[in-house]
Amino acid sequence: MPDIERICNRYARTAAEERLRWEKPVTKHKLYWEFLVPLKNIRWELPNLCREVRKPSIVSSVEEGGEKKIIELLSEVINKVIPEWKEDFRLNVLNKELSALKERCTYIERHSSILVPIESFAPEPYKILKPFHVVVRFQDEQYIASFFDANINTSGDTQEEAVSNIKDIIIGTYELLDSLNEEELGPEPKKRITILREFISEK
Amino acid sequence: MPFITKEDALKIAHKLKADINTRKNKAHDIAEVRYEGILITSFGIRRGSKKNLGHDFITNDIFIGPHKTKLLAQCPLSREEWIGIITQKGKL
Repeated sequence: MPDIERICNRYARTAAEERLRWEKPVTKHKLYWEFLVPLKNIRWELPNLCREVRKPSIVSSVEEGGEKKIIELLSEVINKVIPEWKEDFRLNVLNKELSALKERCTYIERHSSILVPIESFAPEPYKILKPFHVVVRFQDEQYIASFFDANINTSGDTQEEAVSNIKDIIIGTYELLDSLNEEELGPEPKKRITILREFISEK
Repeated sequence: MPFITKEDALKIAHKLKADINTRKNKAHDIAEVRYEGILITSFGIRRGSKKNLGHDFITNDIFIGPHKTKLLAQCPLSREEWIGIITQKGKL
């Protein structure tokens, strides 16, 4: 019975002891039980074992009705083990989905645009005629701040820095464009200064 | 890693023959791009010693996409070609 010996070697205390038991039909039921029960703790081995015990060479080597007994015992183990597997599997899937959702939330939080109201240029000597918003979005490891109406943009390592920087560039652009004559401005700078004058002026 | 770095922005400013308006104690210098004496656009160059400071935003300021902006920094796109592109877009 080389196949059975191989199985017994895997699960028994000693191969010799198990071989002895296999050779005594009276103890066969007990033996099955003893090597099947540990399977509850060795779940990944069960499919292999099932294949092995179904081999004709093994089946023919046990007494009549032995195959049925093995299947019954396997069923019993499976009935106990499978629900646990299912539960483990379900929990694993849920864990993975939860992790994926967490990652997605972090991604959305990080990459979604935020609208930041600009209500003051203090301590710069400029006042806001009407509040406006700038858009701050995360892109390529930096926060890009844009005042889309006037097409003024900048970036920063943090949201705060990006907002601070856009205030600086808005004032810089205003100062530059305001200091030039209209004839010196191309279409885009003309549009920018027209829009900026709607929103800010010197104090 | 930003797609357009400060180094790229400085190269672009140089290539577009921009005048760099240095502003003391401010977060940006301002590059002023002119064509035949007329200001076409301006963009901020962040101050800081890091060469890889992000400047992806200048694609909007110079009216072309990120890829062409990179080409402008890397040489294949010339100032004249850029002038041609922005003229077609009605920015000049």
